[in-house]
Amino acid sequence: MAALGHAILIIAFLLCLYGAGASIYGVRTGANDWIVSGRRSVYTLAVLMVIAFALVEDAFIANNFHFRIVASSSATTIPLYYRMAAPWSSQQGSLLLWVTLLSFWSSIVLFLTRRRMREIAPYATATLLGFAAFFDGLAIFYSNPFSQLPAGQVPVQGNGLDPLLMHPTMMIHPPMLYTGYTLMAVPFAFAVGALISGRLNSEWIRDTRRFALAAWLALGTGIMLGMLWSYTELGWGGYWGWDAVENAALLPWLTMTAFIHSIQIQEKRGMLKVWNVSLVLLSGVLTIFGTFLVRSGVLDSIHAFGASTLGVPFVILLAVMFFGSIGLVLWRRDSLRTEHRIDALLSREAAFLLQNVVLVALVFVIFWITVFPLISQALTGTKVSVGPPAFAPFVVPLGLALVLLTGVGPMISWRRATVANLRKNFVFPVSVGMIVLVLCLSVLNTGGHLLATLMFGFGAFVIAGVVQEFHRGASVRRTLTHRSYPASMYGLVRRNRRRYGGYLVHLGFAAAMIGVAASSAFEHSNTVTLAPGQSTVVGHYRFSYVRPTESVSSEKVVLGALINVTQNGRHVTTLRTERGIYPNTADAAGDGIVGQYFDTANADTTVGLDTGPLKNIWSVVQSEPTTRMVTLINSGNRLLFKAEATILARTRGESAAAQDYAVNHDPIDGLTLPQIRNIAVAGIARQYVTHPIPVQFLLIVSPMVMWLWLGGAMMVLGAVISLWPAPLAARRRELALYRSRLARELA
Amino acid sequence: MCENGSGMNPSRKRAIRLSVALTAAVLLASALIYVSFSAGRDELTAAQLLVKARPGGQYILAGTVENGSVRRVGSLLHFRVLAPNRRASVPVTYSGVVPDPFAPGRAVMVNVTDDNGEFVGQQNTLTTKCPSKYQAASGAAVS
Repeated sequence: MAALGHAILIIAFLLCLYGAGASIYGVRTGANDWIVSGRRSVYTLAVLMVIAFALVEDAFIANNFHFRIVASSSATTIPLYYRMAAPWSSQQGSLLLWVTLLSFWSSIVLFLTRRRMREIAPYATATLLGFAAFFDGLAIFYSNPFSQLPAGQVPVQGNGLDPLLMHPTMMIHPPMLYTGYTLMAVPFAFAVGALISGRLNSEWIRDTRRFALAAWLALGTGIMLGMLWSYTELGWGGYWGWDAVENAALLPWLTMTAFIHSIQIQEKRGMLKVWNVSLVLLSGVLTIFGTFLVRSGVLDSIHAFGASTLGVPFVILLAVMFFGSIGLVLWRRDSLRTEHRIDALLSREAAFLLQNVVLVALVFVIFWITVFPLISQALTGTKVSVGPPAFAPFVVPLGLALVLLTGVGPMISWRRATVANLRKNFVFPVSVGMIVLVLCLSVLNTGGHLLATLMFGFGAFVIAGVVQEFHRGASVRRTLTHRSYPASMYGLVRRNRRRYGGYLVHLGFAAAMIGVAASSAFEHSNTVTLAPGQSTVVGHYRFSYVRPTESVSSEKVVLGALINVTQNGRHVTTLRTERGIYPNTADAAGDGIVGQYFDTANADTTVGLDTGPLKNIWSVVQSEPTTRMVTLINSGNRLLFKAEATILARTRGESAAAQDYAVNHDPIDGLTLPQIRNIAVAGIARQYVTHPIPVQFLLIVSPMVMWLWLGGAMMVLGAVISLWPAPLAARRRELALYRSRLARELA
Repeated sequence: MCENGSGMNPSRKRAIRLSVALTAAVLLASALIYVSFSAGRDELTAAQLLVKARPGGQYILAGTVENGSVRRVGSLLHFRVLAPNRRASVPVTYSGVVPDPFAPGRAVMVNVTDDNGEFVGQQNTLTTKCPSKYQAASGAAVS
């Protein structure tokens, strides 16, 4: 299996080189057969990579510890669904996933465009195959997923998967991020193709727009799932830590957000060609930059792969992409000249452009602060970190401007807004925004957090604007079709998916930003040590530590706490927070037979959470084995070690397998060694409840966190609606509009 | 120059817009550079910290938790952080939330204050790298 997998990787690498060469030769000589052959190389690559990935999956499912990555990232005790998700927890597996997804998406886009963009597609094919060759080459030469352990070193049990990764979101989060990253390569490749071929009309934009939106959706969903994982699993109470790798995923998402908006200006008015092509190229470069940050280990991050040797190849790729992109844009600057100019500052074009500037400023700020440790090290020899507080002075005002422009953009007219247009579209949303702002300042007394309060007002303005647009559209449609209001609303969205899907994204974004502002500015938290029966006040709530809890299963030992939450003497909720301690099989010899079940090196926290639309009550406990438990663990280790030694002495001279069998099955006073160990582990865990000690809690009360998740879900829904293929009639209408535009451009 | 009462020469308009945009960009960049250098803290290894630390100074300490150094006394966590060359280490006393992946042999970062040679970790600033990401450099063992 491993030899087959390795052979597939090598064949795939050669196929990438052949396909890229065939595509370029074909387009340069006009030999269509070579172009078709290059495209078919991509299809074949996808098939090969799916087979290679299936081989790795099979190794994880079958607990084949001959595979180095299975031995280091899995164990027989891990449930099947987490074993299936384990490949992408390792560097080797995630590189393979990269190439597999890239080849899959490349195949789809090249199949869909096989009869169009004849001059552009071969260059795009070569670019996509270039990326595939790079990542496949890394898998072959640096980080081979089919690497095998020497025969004598194959363990009976694997090291296991990090407990933190055994979370439902972790089964989807990395593949979503990789889907986003690999889809980003599609518009990048077509932009390169358009620049090399000089076919810089709107055709390539139209054909890759859907893939750009899909990349935006996948990356955004991946980021949102990562935030949810952080909030419910990592035990620090936040959803965004401005970690270098988090930022690296956010950067291309922001540039792609800018692109999705600014291409509308190119489609409608033939403007911003340089800007659009630069945004696509920048998104591609930032995607690889993000991957470089994760894999090179140049910046300290919770997510980064450490001690990696992949930094140099990535730097070379980044340099080629960056300088190549600049060179191509400069080369084609005459063809990218804009056809029109912005007529007025009060126009949709100007609003979109300003929104683009804000997004790019955000990208610049986040990029600078993220890589500042490297810059400072290069300049002064010492790494200087600025940390999360440095982001706020820049990100908060830029975020406010972005939300405001999110509301303004869709409501203002193209070309030049008139007073009548402004009055018609803005009176209602502005009034709602003002009312919310005044209410927050007067009734809720939020004046101490002026910027957060402004966000509530701006968010309300956006939401009111979107509601107004939906209501107007549905009302007009009801008048025209004489159908019910809900049916009119459904028909409206169905017939204008791109537009109303976009409005839903705006609605979700405003709701999410309100959630971020509220939960950041008005959060109360306390780190406190409590004994059972003691209580503390956080925000307007009293948290009482009722009692410790424990449970033991074959998978883990769980030590936790029951917390009662009251407000003004009234019961609000009961929280159960726990810390699961998984057997540390990697260091069983060091921890001892009993001790390996209490080593907190392999622990994960279960958050005690009460969630609602207006507030979240969040808690974690820092459960640790008590001193009394540690004493008992040491005694248990000694006794069981002695018993094991007795059995081994009795079976001396027998084979290792026979000795292993005897250790696990020979009875001592009627019980086997594993049975005695299990009784000891259960008895020691029980001590946590019978002899409780004070433990440390992190308790947080934060308002409106749910708005962030609901807003995120709404953004996903809106993007899916926008992506969904339009009904045939609408598609034909759109195609006719596009053809007329293309004819004008060609003329 | 205005050709009539309502308009302005387009090239002049463009020049003004460009100046405004450039001024905003320069202001943003200046503010960023200022904040980065003024609010930044040195991110030091154990060896660098031993040389540079001054009483009362605040630093970011990055390194690996030394095997056998972790000790819990009440709500306080005591451990030592090793330099990458493993020749120097510094003691840290920390209170606050300890991330789940924290363990001997794993890479950590913590904000510390020099309390006359004793490094006191600031509450809830301890971060640990995700151990699943510890892919060893070729040939090395997985930590």
